[in-house]
This record gives sequence, structure tokens and C-alpha cells, in this order.
Amino acid sequence: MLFNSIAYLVFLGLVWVLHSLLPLKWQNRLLLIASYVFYGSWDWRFLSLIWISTLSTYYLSHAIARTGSQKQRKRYVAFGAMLNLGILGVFKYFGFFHESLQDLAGALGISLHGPAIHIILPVGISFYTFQAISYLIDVYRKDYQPSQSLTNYALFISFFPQLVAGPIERPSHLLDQLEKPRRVTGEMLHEALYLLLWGFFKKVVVADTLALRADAVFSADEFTSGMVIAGTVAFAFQIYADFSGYTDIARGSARLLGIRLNKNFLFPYFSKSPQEFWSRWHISLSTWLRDYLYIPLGGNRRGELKTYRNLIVTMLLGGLWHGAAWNFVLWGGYHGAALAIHRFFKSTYKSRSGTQHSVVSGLIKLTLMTAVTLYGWLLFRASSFQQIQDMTSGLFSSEPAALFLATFLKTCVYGAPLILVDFVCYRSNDEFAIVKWPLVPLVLFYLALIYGILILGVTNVQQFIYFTF
Amino acid sequence: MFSSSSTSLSKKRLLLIVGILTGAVVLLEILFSSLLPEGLMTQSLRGKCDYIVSHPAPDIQVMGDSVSQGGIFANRLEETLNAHPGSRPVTVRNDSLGGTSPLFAYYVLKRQLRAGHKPDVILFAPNMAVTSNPIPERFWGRFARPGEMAESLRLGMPLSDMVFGLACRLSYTMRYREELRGAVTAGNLEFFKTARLPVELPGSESVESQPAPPENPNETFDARELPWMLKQPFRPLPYVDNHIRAFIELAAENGIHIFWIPMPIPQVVSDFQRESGTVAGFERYLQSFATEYENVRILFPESAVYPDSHFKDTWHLTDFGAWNFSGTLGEALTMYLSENPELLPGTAR
Repeated sequence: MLFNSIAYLVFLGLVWVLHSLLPLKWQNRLLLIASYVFYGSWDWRFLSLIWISTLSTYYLSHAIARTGSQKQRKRYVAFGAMLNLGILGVFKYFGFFHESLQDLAGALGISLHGPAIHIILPVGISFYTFQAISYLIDVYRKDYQPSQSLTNYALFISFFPQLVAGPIERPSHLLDQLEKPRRVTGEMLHEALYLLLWGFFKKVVVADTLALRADAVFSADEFTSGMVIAGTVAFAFQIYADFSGYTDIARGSARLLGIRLNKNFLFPYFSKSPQEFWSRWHISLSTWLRDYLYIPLGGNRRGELKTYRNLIVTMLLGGLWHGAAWNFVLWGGYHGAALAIHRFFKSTYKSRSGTQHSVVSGLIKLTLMTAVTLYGWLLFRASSFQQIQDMTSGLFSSEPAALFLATFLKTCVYGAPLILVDFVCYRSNDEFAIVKWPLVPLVLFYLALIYGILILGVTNVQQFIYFTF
Repeated sequence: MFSSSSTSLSKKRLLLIVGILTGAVVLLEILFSSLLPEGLMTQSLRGKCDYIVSHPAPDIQVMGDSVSQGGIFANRLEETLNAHPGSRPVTVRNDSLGGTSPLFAYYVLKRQLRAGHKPDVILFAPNMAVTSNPIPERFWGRFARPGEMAESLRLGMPLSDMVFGLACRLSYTMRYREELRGAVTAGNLEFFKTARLPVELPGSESVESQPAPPENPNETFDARELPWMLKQPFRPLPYVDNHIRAFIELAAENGIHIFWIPMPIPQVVSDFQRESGTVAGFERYLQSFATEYENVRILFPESAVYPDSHFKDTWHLTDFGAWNFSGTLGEALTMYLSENPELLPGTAR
């Protein structure tokens, strides 16, 4: 049941009506059943994986809280993390490592014959696994008291708006809301309306239309600079509209039920440095990686060189989290290197000349960061190392290409609303700045979204990119 | 948390916005429906249905979608069948409805029988791709009557399709979103220009003699350009299957024989579907009907592969392709009917 389907709208409408009629205890039970129905609509067999993750982390968290022995606490948390990462490893990475090992052995002249294993990737497994692990670690660190209600905890792991593609929530944020009485205010409902309409628009109008242009470029056999740039810019808008559109629909759906989910995007394409980009792009993942990987590795507390190492290792694993393919690892490593280089220059520049801010320097930084981000998307979207090589060489070829102009124009037209709305909200430092507009422009804005979705929306339902991660 | 006064204020503001928005949408939709024309496809669909229901049925009636509408020439078929004169000439009419699915065939036959017009034989030629994508929003939005809507739900149509379909019925924008999209994004105003033309009615085929061979005999289709519907595995939706069964059973109750006709496909589609197991799945599906129902017969066990030059696109035959296929179909049907004269009473050869 995809968010951009009529089935989801009917489902959400039914859940919303029933939810508003029930008391809290029954509200959570209803949401839990609804979440399992939602997840089971993809493949009911994978419900067993969610149950394993839920039950193991729930009971281990209680065991951790009960025992006084630090050694025992460590064993429990390690066991829980290994079990959940093990499931993720088998379902998401087994085939990848199996193939990579065979390729490596082949390159060394050793023949490894084994049966070809094809494991279906359960949708959303990377998201709920990270959420369950963060809960266990927070309990271990005594940052959070284990939940006393299995229903509430199971709902925290499987809450349908954010189950399949985040935002990855922390127990202190989502579980706390699930355990307390909720009140749906008029403001929340209005924000929900805005998030749902804007999210659907981004997905079905911007992302799905630009996907066709980006796909046309990335499936070509030969590349020229215009093509590569236009295709990569189209993909940059596509992935942002797709993922942030999903997140907005998730947050809008949750707000209808009186629950506020975390922000996952904060105008990322206005970033002026890699550090700023990662504080604005997929925020729930980058903060997860910071708190549960980068800081435990030592963060920036053990000298500059180790900080660079920690940044690169964190981002390499962050890249691998996105998918079982080497280009994601390369993409992660590339961003890790960008973070390290930026950190090096920032400390050098700061120590020599202090901090200077001007419009010109801001524009230069914005342009440089946009170029870094775009090349990163090329690595991310490419289907092979060979294609990365071909497209990179293509950047230096100036032969005219028919695909360039059509792709570029379409990207400008369809990307413009995205940039305009982001710019309005960025300038006022308020993601709901538009909601506060006067009545007439606001209604016209909503009408434009509704008719944009109806007329320009791609009707053949497309899956969200991040559902495959 | 918000104070109660700000909450009530924002609830009032929200109600006002939702109210104005709803009013504006309703007003726009009323304006669109009053000022803009209904689509040619809708006019044609309704016009053809009215024609079928109000006119005597032919001996042999072709039913299907746009693929059979343009791919089977009734007059060519009639000519071939009547080349071996029996006691009375056989009449053939192509009542296929472009842009529809097997759901429509069932309800058209039902309306037709209720009006007292019964064919002896139906050549049923639905495209296999529409069994998993039956265009329910067109059924709800442009065709179905209340009783038919209720029956389609009883036969298993999902609630979400009903909601979407009803929205299409109520909203001009939703009903013609594909056409409006073409107008907005590509400046294609054909929809608005052609909608006032008279609709094409059954029996108005203009091809009387062999059409010219294709202009570009070397044209080939690329596997990468296949439409997504043709790449889908053959997996008929349960409610489509239920409607097909209801169609066959209704025909059986009224003594109508059904010949299920797989339409020709280009090589690239055949290769793709053979590799993906779609061809085998479709064959098994056809055979299961022939085994289960006495009134269902299969003339060709699978889709014939025709040269690319016989197609306008990866779905539809050109006039030349249709001419050839209608001839082949006519020959096969003549042979079958000569061995089974009871199927068409009074035409023993």
C-alpha cells in the first residue's frame, strides 16, 4: 500500500475516523493493528521479522533495566544489536557480500561455486531496525526507561506513517507521545493538510515526472557534459521531491492522529558546506549515525586525524545503509571525504583569518556545495562503476545532445515550485511559513496543489526511492 | 501545547479554509463540466453502448477493447464466412469498445440481453494486459449505472477503486486528467477539438477492400520502449476474473457460444512475454475456461506473432495487419463452424 495510492487515502481516512472515536488505550491498539495491516499489505510473511525485532528489544530492554551488573547489561545490549543487525545483514546484505566475495575470489584466480541466493528485501527493514537498536542503546545508556506496555512499544516500532521509510524516531520523541493522551489541535490539522497536499504534489508531480527524464539520461549508452549535468540535476530534484514528499505525507498522516514526527529535511539544497548539508538532509539518519556511531567511535575528541577517520567510517557505513551496492559505499565515502576536507579547511581558515561572511562568499560556498552534492548524486544513481567512469568522462565532452535541453527545461519547470516554497520557508526560518499566509493566497496555493496533483500527477503509481533502502 | 483560545482560533481558520477550498473546487468542477466537452472516448463509449442495446444483435458479435476494435474487420470476417454460402448469410458486427476492459463486456451484454438482443456467437478478444489493469476508474467514472456499480462491488471490486471511480464520476478534472495533462504539458488540444465530432458507430468501418501494405516495412519495436502494462506479469485480478466468469455464465444461460480470440502481438512483445512466463500463464488461463465452461472455445491457443510492420504501436494492428488477421480468423471460424453447424442455427454448410 503505497502512500501515493487511493488505497492508502481510504485506509488513512478509515483509521483517522476510528482513531478520533476511541479512547487512548484503544487508539494505540487500533494503530498497532492498522500498522500491521499496512505492513502486511506488502508481504505478510515479513511481519514475523518486525515481531522478532519488537519482542527481542522489548524483553532485552527490561532485562537491561533489571540487572545491576554492567557486564550483563553490555551482553544484553550487544546480543540485541547483533540479533537485529544480523537479520538486517541476512536480508539486505547477504547476496551483496556473497557476490562480492565471489568476484574477489574470481579476480584472485580462485573459483568459488555456491548456489545463487536471492533474498527478497523486506520493505522498511533498515528503518525499523535502526529504531529498535536506538531504543535498546538508550535504555542501556540509562537515557530512557523501558516501556511498560508491549502494545505501545510495538506501535513505536511499527507506527505505519513512518514504518517503511522513516523518519527514524527516538523513543524519547515518539514513544513518549504514544504513551501519553494526545490532543489533535486545529493547528496540527492544518499542518497535516499542508504536509499531505505538499507531499503528494512533490511525489506525483515533481518526483515522478523528473524520474522519467533522469532515467532517460542514466540509461543512455553515451554521455556528453550537457546530458550528464541535466540528468544529474533532474535526479537531484527527483530524489529530494520523492523522499521529502514521502516524509511530508508521513508527518501529515501522523499529525492527523495527534503525533508529531521529526523533521527529516530542512532546505538541504541551500546548504553551504557538507556539514550543513548533513544537518539538513535525512536528518533522522544523520543524527542517528552521529549519536550511535560517530560519537562512540570517538567523534572529534581524539585529535584531528582520528576525527577525519571517524567521519569517513561513519559516512561509509551510512552509504552502505542505503543499499547493498558499491556505489552507495562510494557515495558515503565521498561525503565522508567532503566532510573531512571541509573540516580541515574550516579549521585552517578560521585560525588564520577568523570568520568572514558576505553575500559573495555565501554564493561561492552555495555553488561549490551544489557541485559537490550533484556529483554525489551521480555516484548514487549510477548503476555501475563503469557508468560512473563514462559519465565523469562525459562531463568533459561538449558534443550537443538532444536529451540535454528537454531534460534541463523540464527540470527547471518542475523543480521551480520546490525551490520557491523552500526559499519562502528558509527565509522565514519556518517550515510552516505558508500555512500562516493570508486566506486568499493560501487557498489559491492549495488549489494550485490540488489541480497540479490531479492534472500533472503521474497516474501510474511509482514506488518511493527510499522504500528500497 | 497551545492555549485553548489559539486552538479554537486555528480550528476556525482551518474550517474556513477547508470550506472555501471545497466551495472553490465544487465551483470549478461545475464550470468545467458545463463549459468543456465530454471526451470523445466517453461519447463514443456511450454512443456505441446505446447502439448495441437498441439494435438487433448480429449472428456473430466481436467484443473486446481498442486492440480488437481496430484489429478485427467485421466486413472482412463476414465476407470470408459468407464465401461458402449456407442456408442464410451470417452477419458480423464489431462491438469492441476502445479504452475498456472485460468488466465492460459483461455489463454491455447484460444490457443488450435485457433489451432482447441476443447474438449466437461472441468473439471475445480482450487484451491480456487489461486483466491486471482493468481501468476501473473509467468503468465507474464514465460508464456504470448504480445497479452495475453495486454488482461490481459484489464481484469483488476493491473499495479504493470505487472511491477513485466515484471521484472520477463527480469531477471533470479527474475524469479527463490524462487529456488535460496532454493539453497542459504538450499543448495537445485535440481532445477539445474532436469531442464534438459525431461518434463512430458499429458497422461504420470504411475498409471495403484490401488496405495498402505498410509504408515502412522495416520499422521495428525496441524492447526498452515497451509500455509498462505489457511488461507486467500475467496475473488477472480476482474481480476481473469474477467478471469474466459472470460474462461467460451469462452467455451460457442465454445459449451464446464464446470464442476467445488472442489478438496478434509483435515479436518483441512475444519474446518478452515468453521469457517472463506470461505467454504460458495466459495459455493456461484460456485452457482453464475452455475446460470449465462448455460454451467457451479456443480457436488459437496463443497470440500469433505478426511482423512489426503490421502494427501501429506495440498493441494495435494497422489496417493491413487487421485485414490479414481478419482473413485468418474468418478461415479458422469457417472451418470450425462447418464442423459444428449447431453453433449458428440455420447456417449449415
